[in-house]
Amino acid sequence: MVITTQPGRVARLRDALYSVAALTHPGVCAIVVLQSADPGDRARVDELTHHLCGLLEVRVVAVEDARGGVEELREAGLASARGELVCLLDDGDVLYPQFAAVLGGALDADPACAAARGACVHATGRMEEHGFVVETKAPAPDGTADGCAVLHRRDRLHGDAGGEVVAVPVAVAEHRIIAATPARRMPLRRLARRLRRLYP
Amino acid sequence: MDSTPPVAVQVVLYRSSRWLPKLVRGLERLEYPRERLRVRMLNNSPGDGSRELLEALSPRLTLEYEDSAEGNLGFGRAHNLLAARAGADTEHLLLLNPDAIPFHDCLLRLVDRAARAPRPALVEACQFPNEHPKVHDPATGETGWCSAACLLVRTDVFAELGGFDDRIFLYCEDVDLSWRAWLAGHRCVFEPAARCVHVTQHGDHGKDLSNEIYHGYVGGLFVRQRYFGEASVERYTEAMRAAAPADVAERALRTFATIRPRTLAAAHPLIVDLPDLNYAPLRW
Repeated sequence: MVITTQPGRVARLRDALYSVAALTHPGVCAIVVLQSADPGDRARVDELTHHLCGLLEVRVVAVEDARGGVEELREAGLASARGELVCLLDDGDVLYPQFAAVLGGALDADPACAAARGACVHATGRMEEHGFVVETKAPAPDGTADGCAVLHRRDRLHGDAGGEVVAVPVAVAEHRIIAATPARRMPLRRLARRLRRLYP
Repeated sequence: MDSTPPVAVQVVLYRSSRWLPKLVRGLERLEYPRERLRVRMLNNSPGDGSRELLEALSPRLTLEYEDSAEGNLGFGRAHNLLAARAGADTEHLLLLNPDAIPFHDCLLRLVDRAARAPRPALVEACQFPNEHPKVHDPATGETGWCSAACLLVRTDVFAELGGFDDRIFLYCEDVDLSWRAWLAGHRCVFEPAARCVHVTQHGDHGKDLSNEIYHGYVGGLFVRQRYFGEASVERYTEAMRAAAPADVAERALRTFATIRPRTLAAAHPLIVDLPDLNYAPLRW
């Protein structure tokens, strides 16, 4: 799993890495591409790696000056990848536990396929002190637009190798978007009172 | 109060060997003083290889394992047995599903929340990545019921409530425990900062869930009868029959007839009789 980060968003990486650690597919490792020379970011990634020791192998690739944008970051990550299958994530993505097992199974079943695509859910919310609070969830607008929900054969990613993409929507990836303003929620007791009025 | 009180982690296993490696490694990574942490596992499916696997994993923490001597006891009864093993000095029980991986700071955040006034009796961790959609009060964390997938419970309150009602075999025993806690004057809260991976059955593609669905309906009928009475059971039965295969619904009704509880007269604003199959309003 190649996970690209943006400067100052390393806190979000925690969820992405735990989601990769929890994948039921065997032999998964994470390659974190750090777009920052900030020693603070590197220290935070190292701390996360320490916490995940025994659960997930994490390798860190630092790119000092990524003028080529996210594509350059991903290429740097892919250059470090060794597995047969790769998934390209950013630090706002989380994968559901069966994601890689389901899509990997689909690719095993059809060698002609170059990639398998799951469903992407958009979750909007707000960042609190200790993490991300999800407020709403909905399918991605066109159901297919997000690259985070695709598992690729690594040797078919480049050049003109081509190949089919098989869709397996039960494999879910969540793309988490930070809302500009905090969402408003109704306090529980007020909601309970309203429900009692609606359903006496 | 000591900021790191003794905690007993208890896990009920049932054909869970595939989850054990990550569960054990996750428990090992918990940031918590080792001398104040004890893990107990009870296996409801002895002979499934869990004992041997745990020995091979050589957990670097204090872990007691036992096989159920009476076959599959069900979720609540097995947790009650494990809770009875906890010493008098154990301030909290952490109930954890075998298909869970707590984040490294999960227990510390749960214990911290449990110590904050007004002290809650039950503190539920935030399930990850598929957060439970039931509502909670964003200011206080109060929630109608706490899921037992990753739940910190004060040991004295668990004993005061008599633990889980072991007439419920699987599912809804946590709803029932939470509602009895509210009625007894205790508080149930959700702590979003405490995260725990939970591979829910909804993420376990390809698995036959008919047995889980059946037990869910039995538990649902039980809590409807106990807290809301006959009319609620009738509404629930109608919704269940519309959603479930006929044989599953009828089997659930037959089992429910053997464990039917009496209806409590008490009421609480957070114990809400919804017109569908849920036990709390959902956020999405």
